[in-house]
Amino acid sequence: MDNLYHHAYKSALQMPQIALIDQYVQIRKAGTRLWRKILDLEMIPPHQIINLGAIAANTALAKQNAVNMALYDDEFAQWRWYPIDPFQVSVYNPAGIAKWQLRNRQVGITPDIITRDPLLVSTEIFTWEDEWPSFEALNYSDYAIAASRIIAFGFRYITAEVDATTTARLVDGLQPYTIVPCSALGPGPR
Amino acid sequence: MLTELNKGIIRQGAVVNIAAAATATTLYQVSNNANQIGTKSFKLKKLMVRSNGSGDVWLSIGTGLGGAFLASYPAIRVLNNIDNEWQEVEIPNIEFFADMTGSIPVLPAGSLDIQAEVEEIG
Repeated sequence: MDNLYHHAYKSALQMPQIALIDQYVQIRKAGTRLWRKILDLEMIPPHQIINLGAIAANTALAKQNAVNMALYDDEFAQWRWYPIDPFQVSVYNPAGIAKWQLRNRQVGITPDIITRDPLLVSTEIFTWEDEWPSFEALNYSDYAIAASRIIAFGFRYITAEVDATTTARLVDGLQPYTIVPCSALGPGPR
Repeated sequence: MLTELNKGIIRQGAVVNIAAAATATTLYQVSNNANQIGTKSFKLKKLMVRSNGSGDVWLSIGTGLGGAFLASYPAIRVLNNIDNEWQEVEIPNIEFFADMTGSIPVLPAGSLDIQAEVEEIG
């Protein structure tokens, strides 16, 4: 599927940061939330983040942890990604919580996302430190595939804890902040 | 004539050998896994055919196996001892929602090797 490689750079060049240096964010994860200030950020160029492996025809692989998405302490990342081989991906983060889970189905991503959504906005996910997501691959066709590769890019953000005074202002809504959903939990009261 | 910009994913079927006349054989199988999201379809983008000592024969591309075969295009002439290739500019833009099959009405001898390249949509 080499004809899908070059799209990643077009997408990456037009990707906006979710927040900028010196701004405040609320990291939302399963069971907790963290207030953080962004100290620095860096772009992660498009690269092959994981190869889930060969898949026989009409077969799903077991979930695999994307360990190469792990970050250092105090960092979170903003990822956009897509498969470059013909398979369907379901995302979990952490492994027990399905991303994009509707009432009757979990929405997955297929490689044609890159032509439907060239900037890959709809694939955006966030991760906190070394809490990597898991990917589940399905070869939905009657033909085996030799590899199931995912290309990812984005930004990593270095953050610091927020002092008590600023935290109180953030909680009271007196200080603007950006919500960063670093797990697969859907929207709702926290 | 311009080739159509890709809306789907380019895929290839296996090399299929047809050795019997009037025996429709599957050339490309549409993806219909129970857990896939949505209905898939495909369009034929490229066809490569080799006549293995069959002489010049007609090849029909369509859907259905056995007596249920239904041609989707006019039959194409496969010439012996020559590369037989058709590309998307020469192929009507038919969308398949079922397996694509091929049938040779009259096959005096030998067999045909056929490989299809398709664009899968959905």
